[in-house]
Amino acid sequence: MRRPVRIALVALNVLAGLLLASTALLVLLERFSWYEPARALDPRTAFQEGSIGTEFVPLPVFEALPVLFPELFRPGGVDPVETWGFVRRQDGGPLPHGFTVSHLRPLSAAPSPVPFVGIGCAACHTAELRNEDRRLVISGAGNASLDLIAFLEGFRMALLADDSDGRPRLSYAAVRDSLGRSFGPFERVLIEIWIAAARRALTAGTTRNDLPREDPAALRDAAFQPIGPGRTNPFNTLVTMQLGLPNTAHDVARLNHGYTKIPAVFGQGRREWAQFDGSIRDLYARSALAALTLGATSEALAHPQISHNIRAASDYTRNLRPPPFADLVGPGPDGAADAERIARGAVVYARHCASCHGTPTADRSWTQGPRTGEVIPLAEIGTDPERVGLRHARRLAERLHLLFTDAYRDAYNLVHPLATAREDLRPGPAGEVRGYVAQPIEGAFARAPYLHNASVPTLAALVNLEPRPVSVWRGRNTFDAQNVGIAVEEGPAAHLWHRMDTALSGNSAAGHDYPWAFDDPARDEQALRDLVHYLKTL
Amino acid sequence: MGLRSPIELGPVTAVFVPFALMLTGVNLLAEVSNHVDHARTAGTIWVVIVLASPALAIMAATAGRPTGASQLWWLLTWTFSLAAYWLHVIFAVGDIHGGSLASVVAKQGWPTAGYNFAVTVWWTVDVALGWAGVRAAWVRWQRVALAVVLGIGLFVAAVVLKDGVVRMLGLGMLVTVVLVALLFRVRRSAPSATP
Repeated sequence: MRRPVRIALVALNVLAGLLLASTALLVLLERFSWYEPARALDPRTAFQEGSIGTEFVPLPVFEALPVLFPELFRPGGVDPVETWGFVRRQDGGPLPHGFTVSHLRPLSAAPSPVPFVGIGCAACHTAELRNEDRRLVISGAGNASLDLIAFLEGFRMALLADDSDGRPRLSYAAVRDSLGRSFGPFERVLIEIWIAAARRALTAGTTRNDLPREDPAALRDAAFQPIGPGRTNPFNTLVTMQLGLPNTAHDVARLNHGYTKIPAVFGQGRREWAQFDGSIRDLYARSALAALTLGATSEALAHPQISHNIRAASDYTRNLRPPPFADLVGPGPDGAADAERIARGAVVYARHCASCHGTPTADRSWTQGPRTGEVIPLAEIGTDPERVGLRHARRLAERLHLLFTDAYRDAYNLVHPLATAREDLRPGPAGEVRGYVAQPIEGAFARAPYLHNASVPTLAALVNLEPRPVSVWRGRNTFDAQNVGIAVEEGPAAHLWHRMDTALSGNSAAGHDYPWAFDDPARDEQALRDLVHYLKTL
Repeated sequence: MGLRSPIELGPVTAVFVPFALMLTGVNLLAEVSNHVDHARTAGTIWVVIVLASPALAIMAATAGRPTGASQLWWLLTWTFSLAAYWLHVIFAVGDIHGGSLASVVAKQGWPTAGYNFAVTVWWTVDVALGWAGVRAAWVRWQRVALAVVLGIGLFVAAVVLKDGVVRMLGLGMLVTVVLVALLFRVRRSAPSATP
């Protein structure tokens, strides 16, 4: 063999060897350096800070976003946590309460050299109620102030934003400079890869989701962000991500307006069928599908740590109880009179409400009523129909079931740890869901605003003691202890940015006229006042 | 004693470089997949099949007794295919089954798990015998048996039980073995050019 050929062959072998050694190094680093052993988090910790597979952004990038994009994340100089209605962490840390940090990559949950931020259970299912000078953080209540969809849209705007020269505003260099610190080689590579991949994915998604608007003010404008604080539109996310069908947000006539409030998750163990339409039976499936809606994949949900957290966090909600109303408002001014009103209210409740919502017991458990757990037909309940009118409902239920069973098994020859039976999803073998399920209402005061679409601000309005407002300015509403619910205030204001108009599709405040409709001649105002007093005690 | 023919740089390069490139490619593809562990486990089997194909073809063509240059080619492809197979075992047992052999048995059943364990050991021993240059008759016959057992096992696993890329590779392996064996036989039975 001639010398040049020999040299070339040796060089080839050396290069191939170096390539192989680099690959081996990467695998070993993942296995031994970046890998976080699964921890058996207790249920409360899993709920508050456990990863549920929703990792979406590297921590350094998340920290840099308010610095690089103040117009999106701290408009008017307001702190990002306040801006978007998140609850502040008890330890005063910069991340919102319920946001998780892990060394798991998005989509695959593979080990990462860079910590990633995710959205955990507590981010949505923890509420901060403010009544005068009292502040109460309630674990398990739906966060009525959280403008999650607008926040995520702002995130999308940031990733796709270009400067005047057409270059992305978000880059590794921008992150590094804004935080005033540099990163190791693997961290830098991963941040750069993530930014490029995220931009690519979002750009590809514009054929379904359209380009984001250029004006940051659009994020606070109900004309462009119809969902608003305290609500999501889960079907749109699932239809685009799981069925691959277009998000018809640009086609008003076909847009699904199934706006749904972020629910309270108290006492999930006593609910056979959950979700507002009674479509999911299995407790773990409820949480897994919620994580799926936030971007988790079935692969990530199979990760031992994540599947443990899903189960543990779900178990936390099994017997979760709300705090008493007195924790928010302090002791009542007239204990004896209050007790009388409450007793009279209990009679009204027993006559008009208990058959559907059940009754609390002395030991703070719950007795089911004859219709508790039943899906009340839309024609009977009369509330907004959009949530239960989704034409893809059956197709979606089929797809979600297969995602965790046949599809996962066929792809990986493995059984998914969160697989659920088809009978535990409706519509399906267990029936249709064209109505809203009657459920216990423990912690009624902490469930505001009311009805599945958050269209009624207070209990007083819900029971038709007060007229239901046609529109309500929403945001970080304070608490109205008199009418029990979110305070109806003039807007817009710094803390109220979304005008919820009940005349719009999906926002109807009609229906559920119990005990009486507002214009019912039999309507008894004293009985309704007593009922509101009683409902505070649940 | 080792090989009867010298280890030449050309054949080593022709086997090692593709081996390194394929493993690197498989790992990079795994990194961007949604299931990294599964992608690595599946991808390493692709490398096994690609490198085992020429080894099995040489075995078929030489009736289990490669000599000269074919012996080196067979040993190199057989060895690097085994190396890829060991990586597959490490990823499968270590990552998919969390290091638990009991988990492997529970999922595969004793017949399949037993076959896999036996082939792993047998193949390793055979490669060691190959590099040691042991040429006893029993070594030849156990090697032929191993090639048949492994070849059938890879074919069933890749073509019968799976689809997609691995099925194509399995079919390619079958075609390679049959074609090379036929061509070799045809060449050997052709009359000599000189009278």
